Amino acid sequence: MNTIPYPLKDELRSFFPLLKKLVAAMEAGAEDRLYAFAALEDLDQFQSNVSRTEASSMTVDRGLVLRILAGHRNFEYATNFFDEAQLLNEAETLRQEALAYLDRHPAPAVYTPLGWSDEPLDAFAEPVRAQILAAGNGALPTPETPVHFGSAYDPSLSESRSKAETTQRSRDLKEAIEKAGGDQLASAGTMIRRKVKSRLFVDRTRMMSQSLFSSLYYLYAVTPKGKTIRNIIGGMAGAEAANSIDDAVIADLIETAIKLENAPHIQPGRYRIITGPDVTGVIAHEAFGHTQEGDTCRLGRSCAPGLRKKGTLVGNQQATIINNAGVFAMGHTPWGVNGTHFFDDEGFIARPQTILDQGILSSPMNDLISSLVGDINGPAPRQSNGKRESWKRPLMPRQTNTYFTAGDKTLDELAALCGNGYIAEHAHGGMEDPKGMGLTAGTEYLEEVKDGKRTGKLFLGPQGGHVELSDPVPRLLNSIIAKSTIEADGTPDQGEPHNKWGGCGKYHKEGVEAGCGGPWILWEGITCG
Amino acid sequence: MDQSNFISEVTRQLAALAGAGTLQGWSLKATASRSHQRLYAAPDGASLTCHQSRRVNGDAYQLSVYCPMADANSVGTASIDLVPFRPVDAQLAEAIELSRCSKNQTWKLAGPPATPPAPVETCDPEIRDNPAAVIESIERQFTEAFAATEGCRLNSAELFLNYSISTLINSEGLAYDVEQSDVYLEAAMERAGGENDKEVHEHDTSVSVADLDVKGFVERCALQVSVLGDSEEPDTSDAASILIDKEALSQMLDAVVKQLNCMNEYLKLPFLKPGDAFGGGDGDPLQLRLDPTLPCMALSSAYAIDGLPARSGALVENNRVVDRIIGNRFGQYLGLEPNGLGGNLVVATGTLTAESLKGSDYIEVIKFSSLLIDSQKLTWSSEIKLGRHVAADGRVTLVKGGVVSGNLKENFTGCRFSSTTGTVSSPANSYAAALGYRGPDALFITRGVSIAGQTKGDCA
Repeated sequence: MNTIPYPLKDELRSFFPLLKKLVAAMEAGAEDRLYAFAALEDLDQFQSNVSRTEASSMTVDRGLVLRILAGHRNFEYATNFFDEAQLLNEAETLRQEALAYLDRHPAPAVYTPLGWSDEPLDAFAEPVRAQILAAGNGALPTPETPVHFGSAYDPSLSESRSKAETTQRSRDLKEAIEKAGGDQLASAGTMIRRKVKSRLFVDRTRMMSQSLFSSLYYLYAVTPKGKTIRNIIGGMAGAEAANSIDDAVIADLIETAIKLENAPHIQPGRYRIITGPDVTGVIAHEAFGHTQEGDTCRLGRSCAPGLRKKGTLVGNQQATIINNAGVFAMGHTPWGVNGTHFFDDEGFIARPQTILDQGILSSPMNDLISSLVGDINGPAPRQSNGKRESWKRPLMPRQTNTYFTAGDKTLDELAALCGNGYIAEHAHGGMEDPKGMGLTAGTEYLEEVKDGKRTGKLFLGPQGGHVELSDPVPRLLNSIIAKSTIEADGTPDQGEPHNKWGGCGKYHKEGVEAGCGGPWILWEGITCG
Repeated sequence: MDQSNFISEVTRQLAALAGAGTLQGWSLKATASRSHQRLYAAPDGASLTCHQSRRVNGDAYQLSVYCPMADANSVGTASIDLVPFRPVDAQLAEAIELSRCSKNQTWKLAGPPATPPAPVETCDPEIRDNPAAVIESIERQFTEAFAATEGCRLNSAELFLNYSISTLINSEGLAYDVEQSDVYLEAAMERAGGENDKEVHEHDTSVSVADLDVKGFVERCALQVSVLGDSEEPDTSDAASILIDKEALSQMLDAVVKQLNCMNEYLKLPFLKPGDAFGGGDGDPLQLRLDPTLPCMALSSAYAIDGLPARSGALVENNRVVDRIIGNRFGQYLGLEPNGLGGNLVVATGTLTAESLKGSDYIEVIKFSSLLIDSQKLTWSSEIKLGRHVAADGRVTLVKGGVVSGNLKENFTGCRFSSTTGTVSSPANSYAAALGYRGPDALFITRGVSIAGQTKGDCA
């Protein structure tokens, strides 16, 4: 597969001069008191839904955010009107608001943005480092050098660009599910979404852009009793993200549907569990993901700063969790997932952060303001976690891709170690209480493990719905018995662990893209209901 | 190009395409929106200190086109967002090309009604005209209300004021405007002094400022803070009784209403039809109706979503389905007369009082961690973020953790609705559709609930 970085459209590139003017207007004469940036966000998305009805839609959105950081307060104006005179007026209004605020409030030292020469290039993932150097023709870029990052995709696949082909693929997949399922299904459907999300970022030290091209394939079957079985396959790639969809995937979907239609219910209780990468990821995201978000920490809403201050171990030696926007390959899969970016919404370059290292907490995942204000442990390094739902919504520290590190077992070895228990493979939501360290991670169903072997027998929740896995976080993280390698089949590890396509609504709002994953993990016991 | 010129240009070109037979029909929704957003910290544990303030202005244009196909019973459909910074003709050509990809059974769009529906209040003019003053007033009310609480530490708060005006037009001559507003207020607080492992995190939403009871909201949060203390996991049980609040009840009934939409029948998803029983038994009967005319609620509207005049009506009477939502498109597909039913859920109160609960052993779920309801299986499950176990002898223990799950058909059998009422008015966001509810503020469920919590002995 030959891939190229997704290019920036000329139409978008032409915004750079305007963004520079706006930054200059916001900071004019006050560079020693204010820090400003301008960011343009552009969404170009196509989606095909096919069930008994068909729908093709294009979502096109473009918006501009002007930001001034004054002391410890962010002032923003966001719009999708691009009239230069009007925007310069708004920039001036924002500047006046920020300066008036500073006149009333004692201000800490102004933030000074990093130049390219301050960046730890060697710590960046290769696609990031290579594209920075490519922009400067092998040297570091200057503040006037536009640096573009594009996610890799295979341009030879026409389906990646063709809406008609994508729709036909959607229809073909739906018909294949219906044909394979026959009378055993009430209905079936598919959704394919192709998205290019671009962002331009300009401050006094740099001009950057990124284009993230992603594809999502969603297949589902519904049984006569309303049991919905789904398979979600996606990645930061073009149509190649669907390479794994074949007859076997569809046959598996149907077989699962048939098994679940009259599946027995588990008794509520505590069971030995093996989680697949999907559910493992939700646990990572919830366990010390939200708890380690910088705003939650600095606002006194997380237990993590207190535990860190005391040096409390919150998990065993297997409990290591990474947050990393720079996931560009996962095991044998040569692309990343939808939580991947090159820089965040505040222009900070992606880099990995170990948020939990063998049970020991690190500093939080910070956006700019959280890194400056800090929590009870004081200010801490900035990370690439400043994200927003869209230009219409506020920015907060958010997770990118959150995953457990891999272990050394195969899946068969984990099953043998499990003895009697269940496998939780397909995620169904999750939630965390950062203050109380409660955690819940859903799974569509459980598969039985008996005498160290998978039996293929499926179980639903006590009342016939999905199954929630829940425990206090420290109890859970101390109960990891063993973890698999990335592929869990004995082949050597390469790339990052598998992360699944996902999203996150912080406290049920502010939806952002967030991958999560890790290896298969055997847990001593988890409460299931 | 300003919005009115852009709409004129788009509709002119659409009319020409329809006149030429290229289009069979179209509908356009143009929205102008404004939002004021404030995020607050509280470094001293008491005062609102804004750390992020935002102003947002934007326009949006959503177009649906319907194109004739070779088969007269089929229509090509596509929906696209139009943008003023690209040529209109090129965008319409793209929409038409896209519509050829999606083939559907044809249906007739709603036209203008013979008699326009009566106006419904959906917007607070204060939010539209004086957002800065409204923000200042809410901040002041919040600060005063918090100062009156005892033993509370404020961690954070959020305030959003949103306003939008939309114009909806279609090729049949339907044309109307909808003005909408909403307020979102959120607070996180805990016990003052010492280290805590519990936080109260609540929000309230309303369409009008008058309906946002800031003082009452802060007092409710403070009341929750006052009961925080040591807690334990609930006991495991396969036949538990629980008491839930209006938020959870409204979400559960919203899932039931999805099955009362004829769209599910067409899509071959589980559905309920007139004559079907839902719940029952010896408890309070379920009486559920929809009402789009209630002023200033999240689902108040003069028009239903498909352009028909919105109508109120009963869906369930005495646990028996008496009617369902028959929308314009799916009604035509199924040969049913579209009825315009829609709007806020209105539920009759019951007999449940604090007195009547005496002697019962149950868990009052004060807050679910994440209530996930499956509208097809009609099942649900969640961790308990905070609850109270009330023993038959009246002893109360705070509970936290564990998983509670249920089955709605069982849950509404032998259940008891409170005799007191409450309102939920949640505007749509990226996470959930809008939900308006007026009815009992609590439900006592005695069937179809399991709890996984403390288990005696080792793993099962």
